[in-house]
Amino acid sequence: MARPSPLATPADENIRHNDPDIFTVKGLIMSKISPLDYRSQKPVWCAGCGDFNVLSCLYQALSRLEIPPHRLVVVSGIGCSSRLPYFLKSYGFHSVHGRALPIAQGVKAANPDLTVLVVGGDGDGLGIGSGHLVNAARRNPDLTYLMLDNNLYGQTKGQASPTTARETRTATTPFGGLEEPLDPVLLAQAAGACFVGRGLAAPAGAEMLIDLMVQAIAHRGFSLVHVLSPCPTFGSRDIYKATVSRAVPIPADHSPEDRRKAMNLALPAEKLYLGLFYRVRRPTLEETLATQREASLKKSDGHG
Amino acid sequence: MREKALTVRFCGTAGDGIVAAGEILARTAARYGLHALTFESYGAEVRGDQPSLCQVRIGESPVLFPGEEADVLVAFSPESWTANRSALKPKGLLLGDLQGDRGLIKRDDQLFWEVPMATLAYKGTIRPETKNSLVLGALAQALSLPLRFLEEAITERFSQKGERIVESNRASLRLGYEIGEAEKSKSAFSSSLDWTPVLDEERMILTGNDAVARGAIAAGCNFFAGYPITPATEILEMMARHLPELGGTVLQSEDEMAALGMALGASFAGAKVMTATSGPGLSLMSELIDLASMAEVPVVIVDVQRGGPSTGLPTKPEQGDLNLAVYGGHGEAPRVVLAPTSVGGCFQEIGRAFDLAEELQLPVLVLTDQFLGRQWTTVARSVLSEDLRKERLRPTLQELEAYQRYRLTASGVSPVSRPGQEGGTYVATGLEHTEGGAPSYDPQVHRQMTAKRFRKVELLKREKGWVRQFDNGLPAEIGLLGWGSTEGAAREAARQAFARGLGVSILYPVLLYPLPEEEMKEFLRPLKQVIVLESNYTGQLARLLRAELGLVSIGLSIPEARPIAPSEILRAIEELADGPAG
Repeated sequence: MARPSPLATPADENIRHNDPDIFTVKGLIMSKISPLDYRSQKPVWCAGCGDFNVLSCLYQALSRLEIPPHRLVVVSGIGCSSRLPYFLKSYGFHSVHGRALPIAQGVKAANPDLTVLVVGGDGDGLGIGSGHLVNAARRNPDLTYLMLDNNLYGQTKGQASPTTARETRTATTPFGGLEEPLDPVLLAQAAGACFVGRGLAAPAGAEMLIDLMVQAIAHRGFSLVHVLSPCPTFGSRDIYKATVSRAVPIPADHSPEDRRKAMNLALPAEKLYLGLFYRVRRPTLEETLATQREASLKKSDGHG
Repeated sequence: MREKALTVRFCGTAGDGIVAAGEILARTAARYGLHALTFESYGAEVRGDQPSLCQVRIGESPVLFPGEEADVLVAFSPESWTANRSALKPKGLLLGDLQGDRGLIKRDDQLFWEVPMATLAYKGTIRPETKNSLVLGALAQALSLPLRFLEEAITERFSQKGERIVESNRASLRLGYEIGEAEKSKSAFSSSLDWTPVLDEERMILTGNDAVARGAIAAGCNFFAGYPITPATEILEMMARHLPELGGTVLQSEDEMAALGMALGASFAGAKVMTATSGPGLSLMSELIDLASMAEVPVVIVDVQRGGPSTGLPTKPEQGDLNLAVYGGHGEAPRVVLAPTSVGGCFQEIGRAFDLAEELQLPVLVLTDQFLGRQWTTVARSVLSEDLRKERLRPTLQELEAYQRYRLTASGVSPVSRPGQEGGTYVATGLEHTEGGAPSYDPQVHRQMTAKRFRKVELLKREKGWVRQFDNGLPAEIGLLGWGSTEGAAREAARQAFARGLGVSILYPVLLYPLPEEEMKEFLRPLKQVIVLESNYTGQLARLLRAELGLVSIGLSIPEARPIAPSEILRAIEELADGPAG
């Protein structure tokens, strides 16, 4: 059954376009900015890395939204996926481990006209960065967080990460894991994130991922897109295949405003759901700041 | 020079309103045309049986130190009298509530005005929370301060609590004034106190923390992120109240790393940013300070120092973070460190801190401490001026055609674009990078880029206007060198040294890293010996001076987490002057 294109819902005020002159032709988007216009340095990732797919999907998504490169800021932490800003022709901030979210919030608060993306891995975002994820979800800044999950710390050569399954053996867990793995889709929802989705960094999942990215970036508010992006060098092919075999799209009858159902879909289960879990509109951080500024002006009545 | 000055010490328990009493007295002095300086001492707990103390010195000239011995001791309870008895001068006045136990007064000639706060509160004659206003009324008689200025000060202080509270405080004030009048007629206390107030300028009272916040706003700060921490929290709260109506943004973050992270993001996007914390927070910020230095992102970071290490003594002052400010962070990450020496200085140096941060594109750390941060002092409004400030170097249109964010230049400063600007895209990064900003492991690139970042601060070594110098009117071979909040005590000690015929030359560098070498060498040249004064154990400034200038000094390091007194400094000067080497 064909899923409706996210762009074909004009009544949805959550969707924001930079230029109303976009039209679709059988899934092909005609845009003033080509995906190739976003290309920058050649990525340094290993051949077969899932992040290549993420990058090309991102080029497509940005192109569809017609976001001018100079109005885009990509903030990252530390890790293989955090190298992504260099591979995009835009402003970027390759910062320190786990701190991309606060930095990105500062960028957006200082200039809400910019499109702000955060890119990082599972270790960066759920280990050292978990506190910032929870608080960003609460704060609801209008930015999009792409968490590229390979179930390990790739840059440092394959240690267990917060999403590694307990049974998996790694260099630091030679006898198995000591903790339950964390699910960012569940965690973000519990923290109050108003847009949560999950995609797959593989050719088969490209269209869904592009779709999710477009919606996430267009969504006014904090949007998390969790991407399963395998590591060909340190990850196990078998574990990846097993994960993919459990992956199914969220049923078409799921209502993204249904928070209870959305959280249920994220609970650990045999099926690993892909797609849009949850989407609602809440006042963003920037909107609230603007409202408060106006209110304080009225209150001060001209006095210093 | 007008010399008349008096020290009043209020002492009681947390919850007595001691600190408010001191603040109100300082406000009164400002309105009347006098000067004042306060010192507060209390524990970290909000209530409980913790002793609370506030000392105020008021005078006809700007007050440098809140006094050592008190001329008047205002005791809210017998216990606080017993605990603070030794701080009262022999001919001083005890004013307060001994709850009938006159046996606590050991001297026959002790002047005592009884103000029965506990009884009056118990009987319902006054509201218990207004004890401090009651006692201020009596104090007005003792200090010959016109009542109306106290009334105005009380109204100003309590106005947010509503008219009812203001009125009950004013009622207690008037009652206290009557009680004081009765006591005065029984025992005269130095009633030859004819002040010669001078109201030649509009004066306000400010704490160091107030001055920091105002200074930032005056300098054009439009983004502040912070995390609550004693004793810097007031800065965050002031910015939260005032920045939004000026179009700025204030965020309370989830921790100190997020606070500095948000500031750096906003600065990267073009905002003028600041954060404020204390020692433990600065430790947490180390990694991001490194990032700011490496990625060349302007930011002002205020550290209101407190007793350390670790949780330490949160409500006590200490000068323990110099090492952290100068060297903190792994690797070699150049930054600028400033240390204002007074409340007025807090305002001015924040402005200069923003100038340096924007101009040099790096983190500027401003060190104050709990003593400076929480002391109320009278400041002329004219000191709080808004000057034109420096802006970041921007790329020309030609430069944007082939923009290189980290281009090597003679000064080390590269023109910086702003997100949203066409042609100016780059990735700010914590990795070592080429001129274009691409990550690089090349040895020559690392050497050149490190030199570039350090070059930016090198120029400051030769700049003028970063030291404060005072001589005491006599030719001096002894020098007194210090930093931050000890300046007032040092100057006071130098005045007393003058009375003893001892010449002392004082130097307080406001710029601590890099040291303003040229100006300091000029100061040091004629001196035979230099005392380096600081409130810490290891003599951090003394070591820095030794390392950077080769200066061998006599260390006066007092590690007691309290303000250093002029008498301690004077003793050291005298010992040096009298000693075998002197």
